[in-house]
Amino acid sequence: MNIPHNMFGLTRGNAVVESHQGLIEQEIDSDRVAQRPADQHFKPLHKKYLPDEKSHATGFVARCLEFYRHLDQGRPTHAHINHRAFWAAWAYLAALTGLVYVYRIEGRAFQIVLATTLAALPIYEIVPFRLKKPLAGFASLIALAQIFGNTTAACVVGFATVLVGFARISRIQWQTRAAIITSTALILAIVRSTSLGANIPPTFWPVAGTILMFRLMIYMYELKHAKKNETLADAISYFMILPNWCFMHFPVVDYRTLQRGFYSRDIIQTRRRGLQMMFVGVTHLLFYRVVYHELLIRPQDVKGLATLGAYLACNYLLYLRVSGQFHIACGLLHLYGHHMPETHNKYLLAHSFTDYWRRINIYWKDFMVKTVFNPVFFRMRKKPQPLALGVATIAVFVATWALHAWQSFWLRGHWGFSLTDALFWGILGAAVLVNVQLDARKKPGLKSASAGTLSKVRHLAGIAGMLLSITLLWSLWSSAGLGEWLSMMQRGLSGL
Amino acid sequence: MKLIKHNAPGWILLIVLATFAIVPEPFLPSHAVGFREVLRHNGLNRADYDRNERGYYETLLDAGRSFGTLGESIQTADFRKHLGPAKHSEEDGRPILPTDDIREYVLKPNVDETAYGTLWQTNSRGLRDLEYSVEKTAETIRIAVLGDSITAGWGVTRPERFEDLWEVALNRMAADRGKIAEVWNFAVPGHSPAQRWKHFEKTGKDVPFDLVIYEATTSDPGWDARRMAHFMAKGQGLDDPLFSSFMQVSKFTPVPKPYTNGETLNRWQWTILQSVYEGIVNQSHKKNLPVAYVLIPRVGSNLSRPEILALLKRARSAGFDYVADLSTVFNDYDPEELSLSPGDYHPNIRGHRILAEAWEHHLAQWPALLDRINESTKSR
Repeated sequence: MNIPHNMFGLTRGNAVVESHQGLIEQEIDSDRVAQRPADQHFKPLHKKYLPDEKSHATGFVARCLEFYRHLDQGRPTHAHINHRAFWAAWAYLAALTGLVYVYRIEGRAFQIVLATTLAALPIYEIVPFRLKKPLAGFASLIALAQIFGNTTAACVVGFATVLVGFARISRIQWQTRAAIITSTALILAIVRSTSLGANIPPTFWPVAGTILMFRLMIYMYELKHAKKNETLADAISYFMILPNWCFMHFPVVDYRTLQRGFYSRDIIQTRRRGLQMMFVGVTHLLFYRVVYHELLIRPQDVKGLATLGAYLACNYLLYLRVSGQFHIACGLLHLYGHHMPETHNKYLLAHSFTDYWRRINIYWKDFMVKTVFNPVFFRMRKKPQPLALGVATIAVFVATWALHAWQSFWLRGHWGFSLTDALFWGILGAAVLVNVQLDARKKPGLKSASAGTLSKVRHLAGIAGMLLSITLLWSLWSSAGLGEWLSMMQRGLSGL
Repeated sequence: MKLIKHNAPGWILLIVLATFAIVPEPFLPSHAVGFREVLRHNGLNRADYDRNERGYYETLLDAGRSFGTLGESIQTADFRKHLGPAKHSEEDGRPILPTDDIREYVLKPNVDETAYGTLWQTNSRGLRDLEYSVEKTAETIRIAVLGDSITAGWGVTRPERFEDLWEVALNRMAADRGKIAEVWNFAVPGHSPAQRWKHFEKTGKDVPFDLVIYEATTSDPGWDARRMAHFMAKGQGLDDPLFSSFMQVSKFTPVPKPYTNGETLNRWQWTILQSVYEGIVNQSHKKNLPVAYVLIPRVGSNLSRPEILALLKRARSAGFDYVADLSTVFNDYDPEELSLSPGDYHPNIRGHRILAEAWEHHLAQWPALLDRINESTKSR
């Protein structure tokens, strides 16, 4: 591709050039440019852009450079340094950090995570490619100690190292490793529930829980199916995720997705996307505050249809806090080069239960599909498809219900099983089950045939119906008990 | 510039939000100030806060109290477990006494009992302190310390708290010059800035003092607004000089519902604080008492550095004779090392020791205190 020479700026060595349209067009290798034949309509580059053949560093410096080059071998084209783009992203992050400070968003831990990222990113940008993951792990370790103290950090890192290290011992049969890790988790759950854990720092449990409770399951799954050994650097980058220290309730990041996304796109675009996600997350959290402090009413204040509608809507919008935190967490991962999928996809616009399940907390859905739905479905592939689909869907919702309790236990110290909780997951699961069966029976050409005004109206009606259903379900889930919820509904509907 | 252009909408929105956050209060209409406070409010909403109050301190003190920005943390349940069951159904089991003025409650006099996990002993005035004589000799330097639960020594015994440690150190220094230091501790857990001063004014009115030290914490902003919502609903404190400048500016008229009052007052929390600080300084100076302002930290600060600086700026502009910032003394330590229990902002014994050292160091530079120590007994 020919690019007029006055339309891009070059940086030293391998350079990322940016066209005046603002898109990254192409990378130019100065050596290749220098070797171009003179008959092309490019002028030869000025000698200052060419490698200096005369000056050869000697001695210690040369050895350092050689060592650096050796470490930096295999740096993908997406990881090439563009100083201007980097500092523009860094400045935006600094401004965003300022915003977080002035609005006191998410407290001290989040501020430490942002400050650590601001300090670590310039070093992260220039270190050899193969040191990037260990460096991110080190920055994460520093932040962990800053936030939770040295004792908790030592306990968490020590425990995680033992457990992950054990999981990686390939000489032991996978089933044996899985059984021992499961037993360890159950023993720890007993220790946590009883006075046996009195001498363990209380912050150890949620921190260790947040990094291991789901990720170790996924890691074990990957170790079972991996065709080659997983590297230690990959394990560190997976378990020592920096934003996890400020968001204990963390999206269930998939191991393979995290590794595949590492510098899979141009770093400038990845960082830009990450910063956008973080900003969107911040706006979600600010909007959440408006809802939480100004708009939300108490269930006991529901009197009539209007207040019921207001309560249902605002109670559901409290989910903005989760989506805000997940956006920020995912955005922060982008800053370290991990191009990750969206965590949420316009979940307020879902038009059916399956659509809702696909749009809200996408990482959880993927986790369930990978570890529950697919194994169950493929085990039943010889059975009739509706049966296989039904059993796999039921398995997903039973697992989701149980794992939410598992999560609650490690993060909050109690299982949180309740009738409303069971009803919420039961009803949602049943609705998705019906929806899945209906979707499976649809003929492929039906959608295009019904396209038009009628289908748009139907789509809008689907969105409205879905909003009504899910806000009702959500209010049931968050109510103190079934009696309280029925009483609130009775008061709300009394105006009809 | 080209790179900024890529994300121009992002930059613009970010700058607009940041600007809105830092514009000084007087330049914004009151509803905008209120909206900004909502955006900056990182605590619980009113319903959850009230529920938390009842579940936490209110069940302990049972006097409609809150100790500031307590958030529901992952460790709160552990903390409750640590404290043991609260005696909220036994009136005599608590060392507090309701009042019919803006203080709302005070400590009972002559108490000697274990409550809230530690021993509470009070003197005949209801101060958690020694029984001092009202008579003051020429050699005596008498200092009043006004404060909240940290100065009262929540969770630690009286000799372990920082104020007593400082008193011992001060006496050591004063003894070289033939003086005796008496530090009267007027702190009551849960008292807001205005309540701290009012308690000193009422309880110490017949006692001659040389100096006053006002202990502030990072929870001072908003604390009076929350308490005013309650006691002003009962018609108390409306003409109190501490609130006079706020009442003039805001034209606030309370209603019998605390919740409704709170909605209005929360928007004026910094103005209220300024009014109270000025009131404390004016009334202290009327009594010819130099007054120092000492900002102490909570374990796990609840304010950002710019907010702490803003708080100190207000203290200086209110006219305190000496302003000391101790808010960073816990920064070099892990919160869990200094906290009374996980999730709690009250310092433990070690925290009190660290605080005492910093307190001693900073107040050793207060000219009014040095003058009292160094002046000859005859000149007095």
